[in-house]
Amino acid sequence: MTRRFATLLAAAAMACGNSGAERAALDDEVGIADEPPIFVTAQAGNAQIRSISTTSATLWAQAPEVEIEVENAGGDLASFDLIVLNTLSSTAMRAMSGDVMIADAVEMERQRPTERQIRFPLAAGQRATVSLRSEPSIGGRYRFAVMGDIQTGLNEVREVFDVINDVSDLEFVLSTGDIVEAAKDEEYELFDEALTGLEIPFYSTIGNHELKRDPENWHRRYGRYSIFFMHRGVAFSFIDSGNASVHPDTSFVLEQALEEHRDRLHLVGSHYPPFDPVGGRSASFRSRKEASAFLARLADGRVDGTFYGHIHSFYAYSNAGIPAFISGGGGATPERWDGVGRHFLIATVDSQDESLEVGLVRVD
Amino acid sequence: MAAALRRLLKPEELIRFEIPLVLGFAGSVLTVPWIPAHQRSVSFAVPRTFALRCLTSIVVLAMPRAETRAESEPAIDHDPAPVAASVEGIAAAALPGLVVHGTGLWVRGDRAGARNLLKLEGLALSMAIVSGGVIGVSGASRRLTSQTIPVLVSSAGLFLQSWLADIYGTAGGGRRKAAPSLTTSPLSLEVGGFYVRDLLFDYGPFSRAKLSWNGGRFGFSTEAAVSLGGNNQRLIANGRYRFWGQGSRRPSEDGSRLELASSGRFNRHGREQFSSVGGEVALSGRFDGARLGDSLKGSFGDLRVGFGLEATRYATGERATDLSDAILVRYGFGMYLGGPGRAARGEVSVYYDHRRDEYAGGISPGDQAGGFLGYFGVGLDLDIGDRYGIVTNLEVGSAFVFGVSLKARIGEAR
Repeated sequence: MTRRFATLLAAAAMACGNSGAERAALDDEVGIADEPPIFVTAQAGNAQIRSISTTSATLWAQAPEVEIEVENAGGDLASFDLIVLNTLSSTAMRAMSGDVMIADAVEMERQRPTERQIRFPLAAGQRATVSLRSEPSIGGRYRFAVMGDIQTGLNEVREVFDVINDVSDLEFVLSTGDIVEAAKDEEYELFDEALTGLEIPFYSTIGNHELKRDPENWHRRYGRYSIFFMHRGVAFSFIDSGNASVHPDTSFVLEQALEEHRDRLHLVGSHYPPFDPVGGRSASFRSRKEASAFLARLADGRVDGTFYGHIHSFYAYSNAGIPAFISGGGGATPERWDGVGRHFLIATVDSQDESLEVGLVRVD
Repeated sequence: MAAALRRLLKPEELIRFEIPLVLGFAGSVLTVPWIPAHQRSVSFAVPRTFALRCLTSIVVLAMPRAETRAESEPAIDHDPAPVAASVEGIAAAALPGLVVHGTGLWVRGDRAGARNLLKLEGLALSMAIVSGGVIGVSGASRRLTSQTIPVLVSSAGLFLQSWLADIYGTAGGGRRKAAPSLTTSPLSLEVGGFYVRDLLFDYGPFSRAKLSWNGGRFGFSTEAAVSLGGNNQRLIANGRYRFWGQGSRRPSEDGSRLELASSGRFNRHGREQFSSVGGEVALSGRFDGARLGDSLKGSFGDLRVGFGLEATRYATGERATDLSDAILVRYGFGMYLGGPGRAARGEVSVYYDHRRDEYAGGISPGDQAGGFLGYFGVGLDLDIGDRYGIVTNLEVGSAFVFGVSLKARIGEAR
């Protein structure tokens, strides 16, 4: 009886507080899969392997620049197909073997703007590295969109994507999470289908709604719960705060990013804002002490901008002296009488002068 | 609804307790559409809410008094004695009683107590439906949350209080002959400590001291806590004015009371490089269960509703200072320990506090509630003999807090 009670207590503790630890641990497993004799590894977990066979692998990218290793531990393969979904169209795709370009590698015709496929031979024991990288010649000033909280607006999210498509020069969409309402499989399938209509990649951390059912559904489809990447001189850290808190294991990775990027433009995002600008509403971190400690660290790491979701409106303010923007206008039940409605943000960054400008785009 | 609640309170006590508070908040919800769109919630919520409370008090005063209704209705059938403890009563109170409050007392024959608990549940559900509905329809609009969230959280308090009261009554709580202590020493000193188990902060143990002065209508206390290993210090100063209850100009016959409370707080987090300073004001009340039925003698319900402002100064980056507001709601249910002539007296209570700036943080039982709830706790305040006592509490939020202090009372109790 005592043991059963202890087990129940442990299960309750896991449900209450340790899921952040589990998600942080799963982040370390993203991008590693094998189908002997083929072994595929996405560096830094920046892409999740959705399927793998002895002749092909399909991955979902969670960063503009990815590097994927494919190792053949068996006999010669005449061709291996590597398909990468959710990619940035302006990146160059190359297959290398060591420092040498694989001469017979062929990038296939794109079915969609965000889908890339490369076919290359893989000799016995050979290790190929496929990379998607921005051309160094491209400047450090560019624009991207920020959105969050689609939820019940999933059926109409294509309307938002259409407006995003109409904006020229956007590199990608960054999401603060809550793309689904109940985290059902059919919702994720609906979202993936809607994404086929988006002409630029969509990178996202999770929100609380992704935790409603099996949170590993996210892991299997999109990979990391917290995403970290660099693009054209700007660093991005969008971290998992799905249960209104940032787990110490996730904070540890964020700490490393803060140290690494303190001298360049660094933008940090999470689903929950540390503080709700309308304090009494409390749509924020579950502990104000944690929120303040989190912001103190961001300020110490010289973060240049913060993006949040969860609140279904738009707010621009400052936290710990850092510009802050809340955008939850992806289609979820909106905050009324705020004059905002469905919307997304356009952020313009320049890595040279470390500037950030943010504008609001209304969809309706 | 207010007329029905009149039965629970003596007419002269009516406007001084929760009815103006509750109806005032409800009234403010209904009048929000008149508020100019450009006004921020922080600026209008407090004055408007208090103004509406005053207005509601006048309306309640103007209502027919209970005596006039007594002419046409039978008197409440209070049972002569509290019900005895019984398993079937507790079971009825616990499970069907969760849906229909008072089921346990009804099964055990205390019809009057059962009806009162059902009325409380009705009030709680009405408040929850109105406030929750407004929050849902408005998408948690920034213009309405200052009015609706206190009502919503308070409704949860009333709901839990009436449910727990049913269980208390059917467990034979009313037969314990426990009663509140109606005399208090003018000074008391608590010295002890507490420990915080937090996944995110390593405070180590805290030492704590609290000095309280009770001057009847007025009271003041100051409390200091210092972390012995985490470079963390907290200072709290509390003041209160008692409108109604023991020690005030309008004493009650039991532990029931209504106070205006204010606090100032300072908390330095040296290791995390920030500090916060804040002020708050709240209405705080206690309602003795004996007023609802004989079977509920020795129990009480607490409710505190207020508003706070907090400034957080960061010692990193641009050394910025952020200002934020907070809605303060705390409710609890408890029972008195001991009684007249007994050496050990005091009270034990379970409570919920909606604030999330304490060491306990906010509980996160599921993805939907994450980031909204405060913490739960259980507290014991026990006097042993004339001079000494023990105060202990356990709180569960995003962290666990366990504290124990020894209490010394100074001066003649009065």
